[in-house]
Amino acid sequence: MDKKIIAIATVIIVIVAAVASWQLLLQPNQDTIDLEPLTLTVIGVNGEQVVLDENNITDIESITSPGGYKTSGGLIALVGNFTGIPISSLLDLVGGMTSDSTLTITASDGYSMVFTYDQISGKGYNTYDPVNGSEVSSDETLTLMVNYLCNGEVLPEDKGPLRMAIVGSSGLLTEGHFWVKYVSQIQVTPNVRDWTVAVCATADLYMDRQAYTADFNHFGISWTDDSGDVWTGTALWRWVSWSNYNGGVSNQSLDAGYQVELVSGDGYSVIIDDSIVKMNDNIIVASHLNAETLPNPYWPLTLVGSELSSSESIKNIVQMNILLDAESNDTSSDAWTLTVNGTNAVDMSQGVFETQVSSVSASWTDDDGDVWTGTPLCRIVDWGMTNGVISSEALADGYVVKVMAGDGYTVILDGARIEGNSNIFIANQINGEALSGSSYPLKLTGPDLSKKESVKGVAQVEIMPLSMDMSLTLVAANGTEVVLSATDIAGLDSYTAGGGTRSSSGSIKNIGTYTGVPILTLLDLVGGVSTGDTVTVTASDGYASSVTYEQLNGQDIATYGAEGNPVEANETLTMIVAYHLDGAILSAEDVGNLRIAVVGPEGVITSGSVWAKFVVEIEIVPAE
Amino acid sequence: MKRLHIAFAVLAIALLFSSTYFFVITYVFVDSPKTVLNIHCATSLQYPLASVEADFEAVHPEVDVQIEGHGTIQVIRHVTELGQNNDLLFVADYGLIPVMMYDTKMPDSDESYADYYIRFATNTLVLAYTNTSRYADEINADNWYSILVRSDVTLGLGNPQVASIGYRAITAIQLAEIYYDSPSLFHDLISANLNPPINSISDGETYTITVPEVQNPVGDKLKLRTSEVDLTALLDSGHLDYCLIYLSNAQQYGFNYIKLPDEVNMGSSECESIYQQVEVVYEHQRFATISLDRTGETIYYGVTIPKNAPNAELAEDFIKFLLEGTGKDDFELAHHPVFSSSYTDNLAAVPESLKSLVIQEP
Repeated sequence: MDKKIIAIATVIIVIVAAVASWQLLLQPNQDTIDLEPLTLTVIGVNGEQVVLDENNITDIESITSPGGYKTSGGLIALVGNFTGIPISSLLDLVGGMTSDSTLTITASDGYSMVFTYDQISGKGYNTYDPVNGSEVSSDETLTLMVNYLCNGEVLPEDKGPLRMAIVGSSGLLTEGHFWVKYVSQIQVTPNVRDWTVAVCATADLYMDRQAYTADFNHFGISWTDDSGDVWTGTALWRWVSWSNYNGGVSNQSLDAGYQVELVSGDGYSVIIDDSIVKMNDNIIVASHLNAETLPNPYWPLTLVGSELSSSESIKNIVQMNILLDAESNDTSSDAWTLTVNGTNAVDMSQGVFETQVSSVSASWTDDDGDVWTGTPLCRIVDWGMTNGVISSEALADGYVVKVMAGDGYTVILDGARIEGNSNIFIANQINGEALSGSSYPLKLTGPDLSKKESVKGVAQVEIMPLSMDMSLTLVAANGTEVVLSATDIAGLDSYTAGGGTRSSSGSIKNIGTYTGVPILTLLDLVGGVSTGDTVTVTASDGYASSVTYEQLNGQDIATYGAEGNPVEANETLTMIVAYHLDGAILSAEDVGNLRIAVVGPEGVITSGSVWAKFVVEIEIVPAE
Repeated sequence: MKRLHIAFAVLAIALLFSSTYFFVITYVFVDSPKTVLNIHCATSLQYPLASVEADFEAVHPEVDVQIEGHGTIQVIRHVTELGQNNDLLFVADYGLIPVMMYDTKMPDSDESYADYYIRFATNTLVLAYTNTSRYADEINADNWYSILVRSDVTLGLGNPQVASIGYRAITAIQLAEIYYDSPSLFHDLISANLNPPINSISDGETYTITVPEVQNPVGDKLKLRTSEVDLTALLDSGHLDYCLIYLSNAQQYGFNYIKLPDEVNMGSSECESIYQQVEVVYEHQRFATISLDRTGETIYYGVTIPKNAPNAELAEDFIKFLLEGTGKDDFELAHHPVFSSSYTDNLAAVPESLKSLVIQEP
């Protein structure tokens, strides 16, 4: 009997133990973070982009801290311990964030929320007691994080895999709308919005935000409306004056009478007569309201002032037309144009050129006694900077000017050589008459130019940012060296296309449009390369890397998709020695004046291992 | 030895009972037998709907009504963008139902989430305060706007970025500026107390209020909160002197309040053209699918049953209970009367059981 009892009891205990073990086996492993596949894109203020996957996310140092949120209905919806990456750690991957920008968090369903710099820094949140939900004031600096674990568990499908969380040592609650679910993108956005307004008269000029800011800093005025709102901008007559100064319209034309037509983005327009415009500081083209950039729908400019009716107060100004009285319209013929090229190509009409000459003229009597008259080449550059050809910032670190004839003959001049120099000019007249023959319509001439540098039949002036400090040594297979200066490099045919790199850790960087000389073009200057040759690229710090013949020809280079995933290249890859990124000189501090880049028509992303910075020498190593 | 055997047997039986108990608790009695009626509502309706919930459950003991309050946009978004299957949606701005649901198709279907609304109640904005509010003994229907601009007075508003009470409140401030011919009222109460400011600009006929992408109060005068729930808590605790909330909520929580003129309170259909002078536009659109931009109009509450509601018939019963049953009395008692005849924009789409309770809008 006893044996039977013991046997039954033993069976029961075994069953119970088995059930208990089964239950325990059902519990998830708490030590393993097993996030579902995800991508999180982090975009910096300058467009730098990093795409992280679930492994990258868990590899970044995390914090765990209490917090929770309250719904707008007053419900304490969630209280717990949250694990995730502080937002500051993620932003550091793309250059951080400053107080003049905001952060937009976007979810995979398109929902987005904007955080201020203060909120990124853990301030400016309304906080609530985690027990009773009542509002409490707190000086505690909270932490905004990208959260992936709640109380040690991965987030459920209807919340994650990533969500924003606001945590702190006191476990205070915050407002639920900041806890964005399904987070897929984090982007730093500058507070500044750029704009360009066309100012059309005899010539069309373009006032951009930067040019306007310069005017605004000198001539800014304000007007307070009946509601106490303060509008700030520049007087309308200053815009007419700006056009006049920059060759858009002559004094003679304005003196004969004009009207200003302002056009809104929706096509609405108003016309103001010059009798009201002239020297009148009570009609203001406003760019700011209560010291802030105009909001929509007023942005970028709105016409305001005490002497305007409400219907004349036009908002969202996108264009100004200076309408000249019919008799005063310039009747001179526009038989030819001069193309001024930079970031954009803008045609300068004959009439506008002549306006430049009348504003700033230059003349010179050559050895034959002929008197050449025109306008300094630097004046054309200045015109280009105020007419949307290229920004002054782009030229701040140096530039060259290419003057090209209609037959292709080209002369390249260092920007420093022409600045303020009336002895290098573009002539449109000889002995008081229009040019003719091979010189027609324009000729680059002047006492500071050699005969070889004189260009007849000028058709185009190209302004090109370039650091004069750069030089590149090419070493042929036989050891012969050729040293190229900045102007030498500028004279070679360039190639422009997009590219970017993927690092071995998966970070996508250096995305942009690069301009430079194809490396094969350069190598052709020293005899070219053959199958089996390699090329050694040397940086200014002595670091050297090797490139194979195939890579020089755009082959055997790993290519990736926008999210860093390996893909087959579906475009022709070109290896270039780049000197421009997005139309500007490369950062001498970060990558040097010249760098190796691999680019393609579709903006290919390639392995960072074949890119090189601070390039100063390229040497052909012949096959053994 | 025999005692040991008995003890061993008792231990085994105890283990058997306890494990059986936990197994049954864990795996047998998991699901409640009650049918859950899932309702999402605008926060300003939480108070009266709580009473309706209790009375409905008393009549339907087999039903568990579960109500969750959110901002009106979130109420709808939970269904259309977050994939929740709710049975009933009550919103504080009926106009958002067509905007957010009529053109949005359900997953794997050509059908939209809804094709009708029932407009069943209105409300008005009032200025709520307590006996301890600054100048409580001085404020009245004629001078309230001049009291609010005093430097030591604090004002609470719904955050216009996230709450319908918020965009209605700033619209009402602009309407007050027009009504009282007090040209700097909006600037002094709103623009001057936020950085970046919320500006209201006139083109001579209409006013456009622009809400920037972030709301950042400067100083202590103006407090923005996500709903009237938080505003009333601050008012009750003395952290606010005044707040603009719905009349029903002011009465439900027992606050003093100033009635605003019809031209300002957004509760009179006769003043619709006046309300339409003011438009609220947003610098940042939070949602991928809709624009939040709103033109001023009379406050109307709306309800609809999403087409993917799991308990659509029960939801119809709940609406019926509200429009003509005890629920109607509950709303009356909660100072939020339901229309004697509600309206719909699409009578053909309204469920048969409700058709007799609603009138087709002209």
